[in-house]
Amino acid sequence: VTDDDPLERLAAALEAVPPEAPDARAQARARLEHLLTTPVLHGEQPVAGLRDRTPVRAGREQHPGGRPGLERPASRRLRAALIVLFVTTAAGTGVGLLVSASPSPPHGPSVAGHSSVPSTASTTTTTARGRGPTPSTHRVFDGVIIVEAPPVGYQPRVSEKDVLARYTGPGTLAAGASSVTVLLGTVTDSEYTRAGRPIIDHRVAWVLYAVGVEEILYGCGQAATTPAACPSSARARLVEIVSPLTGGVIDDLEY
Amino acid sequence: MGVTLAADLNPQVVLAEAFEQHFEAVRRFAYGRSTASPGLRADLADEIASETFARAVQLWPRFDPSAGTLRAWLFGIAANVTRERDRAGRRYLTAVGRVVALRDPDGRAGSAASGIEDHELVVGLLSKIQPPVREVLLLVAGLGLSYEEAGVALGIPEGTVASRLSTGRRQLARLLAATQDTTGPGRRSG
Repeated sequence: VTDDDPLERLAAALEAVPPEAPDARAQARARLEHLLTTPVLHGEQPVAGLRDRTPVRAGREQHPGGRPGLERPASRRLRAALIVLFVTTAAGTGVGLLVSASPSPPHGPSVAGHSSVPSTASTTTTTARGRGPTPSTHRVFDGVIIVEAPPVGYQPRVSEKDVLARYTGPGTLAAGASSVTVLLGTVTDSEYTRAGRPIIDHRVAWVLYAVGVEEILYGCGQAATTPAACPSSARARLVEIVSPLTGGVIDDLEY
Repeated sequence: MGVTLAADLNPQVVLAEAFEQHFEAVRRFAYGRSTASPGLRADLADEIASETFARAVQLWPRFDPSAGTLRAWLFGIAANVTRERDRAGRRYLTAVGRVVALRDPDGRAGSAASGIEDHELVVGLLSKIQPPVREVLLLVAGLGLSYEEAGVALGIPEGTVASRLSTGRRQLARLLAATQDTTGPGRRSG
């Protein structure tokens, strides 16, 4: 490196930039090749896994079709300290991380016999079906971190405000939370690829680790997910990534 | 209304070739442009480079070869993606920063460490330069784009490119000198 020219030193510095992560280039190439061979229309995303292959138009109904309700033993509901939900957004699949420092409300849930955790978890689905949850059940959550994950090949035109509006209104995931943090664009690969293989970005695992996750309830997505790929492989991936970090329990919501 | 000349090109061929030719440069640009901490910068650069080409597919109908080179167009996209990610990154760090301090006492998540490499030092100093100037520095001095290409990429006239480059050179020299004053002249690697 020459001594006196800062621009030459800058050029040398860029030459010395660490190489990309293993597979990063291959993944980027595969992503590009996929996009080049798959029509992506403005405002629409071809969604793998939908039987009729109907594109989901951004801004329209996020959760077409009904899904089975969430049924879990009450005793297990009380154990949850964190919920990881893959939620389908208008733009595709997102990830919601709900962090709770107190697994159960101090005075019990407003719905007798039900803890807040599954009530909150089911918000995603019940809202879609028009059965809103009881807002007061959300008060157990001391803080909510929502990670908005743009799907592969589609850059949602969302803002923090959009996401807050989506998740914090009455009857939504983060309703009643004492604090909400929205992270945008930090987990670009944390959704389901066209190959049906879910990838949970290491940043998600890092966040989980950082917040000291002790237990995880996992539910996976809706319209944009391939039903066959949804809970088993996605859950396996979550376990693979998160368990070594947290030593926590992965508990499938069995969507 | 401009004519979409890109319609005459086959994006499957052009963008696939562009990927092979420019992926690394786009990644380096993102690495240098980002204000993320060193521990996150490399991963972020990977993401931005990937996102740049993905977005190029979506934006392909708007590519006008008569307005500039494909390389310049790609760097323009990369600049936009990097700006977006930096904003998101600041929220991200704000959200978890306090926890990191507790969970990451060794600073693996990106705190400055002793024995920092020269490239990290220089790139770190870049973050102290205003983004518009930094972008010009990276594109022209760092990656060898012409003034014209950099102007197309950033949407500014060539004269502005030259002006910002001059400013950037001065600022970078000053920052490097200040660093040498505090660390001694032996920091450079070569």
